[in-house]
Amino acid sequence: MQSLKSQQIVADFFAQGYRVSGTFQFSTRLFADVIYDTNTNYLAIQQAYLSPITDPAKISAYYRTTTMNKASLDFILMIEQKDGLRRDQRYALGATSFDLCLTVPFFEIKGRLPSTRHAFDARAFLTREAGAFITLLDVTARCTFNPDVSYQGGAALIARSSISFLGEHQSTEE
Amino acid sequence: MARVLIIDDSPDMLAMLRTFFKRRTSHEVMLATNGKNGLAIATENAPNLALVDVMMPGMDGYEVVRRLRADPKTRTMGIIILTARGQSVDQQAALQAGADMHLPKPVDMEVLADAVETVLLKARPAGKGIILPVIGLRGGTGVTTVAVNLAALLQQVGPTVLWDLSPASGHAALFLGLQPKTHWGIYLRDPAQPVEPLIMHHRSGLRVLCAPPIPGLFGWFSDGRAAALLKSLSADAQFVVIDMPSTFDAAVGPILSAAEKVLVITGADPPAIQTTLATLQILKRWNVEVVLARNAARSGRHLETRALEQAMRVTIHVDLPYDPNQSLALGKGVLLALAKPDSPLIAALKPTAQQLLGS
Repeated sequence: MQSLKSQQIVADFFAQGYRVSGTFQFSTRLFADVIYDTNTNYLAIQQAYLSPITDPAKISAYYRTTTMNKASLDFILMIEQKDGLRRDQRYALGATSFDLCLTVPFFEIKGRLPSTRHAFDARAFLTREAGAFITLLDVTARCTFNPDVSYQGGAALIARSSISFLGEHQSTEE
Repeated sequence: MARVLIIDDSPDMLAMLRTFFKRRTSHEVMLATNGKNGLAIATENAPNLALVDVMMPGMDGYEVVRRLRADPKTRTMGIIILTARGQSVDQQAALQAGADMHLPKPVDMEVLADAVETVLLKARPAGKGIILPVIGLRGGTGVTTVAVNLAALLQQVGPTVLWDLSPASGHAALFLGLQPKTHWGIYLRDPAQPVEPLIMHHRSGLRVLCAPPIPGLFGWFSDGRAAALLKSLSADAQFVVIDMPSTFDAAVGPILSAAEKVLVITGADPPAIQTTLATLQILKRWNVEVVLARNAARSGRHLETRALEQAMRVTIHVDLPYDPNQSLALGKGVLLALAKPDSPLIAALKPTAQQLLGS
């Protein structure tokens, strides 16, 4: 997961039990803008390396180019925080943030939701906010059936439709 | 000057790394755009170091590393995995495949420069400066006692240097009856000066790089400085024994990366057990074999080693007994390994030295 140059990023795409590390090339629109765009259903990924999440370091397949159905994505993880931000978010993220914990298939994800609000209402957030994805920052994604395996990233784009549980994460440390 | 092979399918990355090596080092660089080509170049040219990408079409980087390790011609070369797959599972996979180090892209050039020198140090020709760190994060477990006497025993095998890396007025010089007139603090103030004049000589032939007698005056090591000093020390010694600091900081990484084995000293009291377990956990970050020694640093009744193993759920490889001769030797400023070579502690340390050397 890296920014090789301004027009391409490498990210980990998690979908239906697979980890795909691949390069997304973009010209005028940022990666997050493309992901959030509701007018496009598919995503072209170059140099895609596929691993089952049961053996996430093993490269089981390589595709020079591949097309990904955005609707089937669970989440996308990026090392660099800026790669997960839409253009509007790069200008203003909001003065507050909420620590969230949520689950998507095979993963429990913790991260920070930037916000302009002062209180977090999970129901309202899931039902009223627009967009098929949400952006979390400083993310740790832990594999449900293998808790020793976790993934860290500066940002993650998480598909709303994949979220089964969502709550504000209360720190136990004082 | 070393020969460095870079295997990466990205022309941009190859160009960037070639420029980096050209500007920052005197190393000779060879380039390969895929694993198969890289293996052929490695077999033919026997480079000292390979930087291997993971995500490459055809043969992935892990397979390249496995094949390099399986080939007698390339088995001992240094290998750094340099990949955009930067998660902890990827690091484990790299080390399991046989790489010496895993660096996630994008990599900071300073980090890469330090990594290259550290791994090249480890990939030294056989017989050049085997690095033996002795570590115990819990104070009072006798780390310095073990390090000093181990160094004295190894000196009888070959030229040995003892590096007292204590940040707080180390005691190796005291054990050896030396006045630490020169020390590594002077090196930190002026890294350009040669290291040899800073080394003190014990009458046994053991060479010692002491810690500054007054802590805090000379700063502390960056990982680059630590790697460079280690390289100097190991250049002229068959063994480098390091009395390690009781913290995992910048100086520790290059040493553990360069070492094949580390001697961890534990006691039997609950704080020592807790600290040792944490130490063993942290040491998993490095591809280093742990030899765990229980040292009875004080007189009195001690927990049985077997009971300690059960409590810690680890194997204790070495049991070092309490030896009253050690405190007597320390009081006289003489080295126990020389003054009483048949004492219980030294008798137990001899097989430990053999174990550390893999014999």
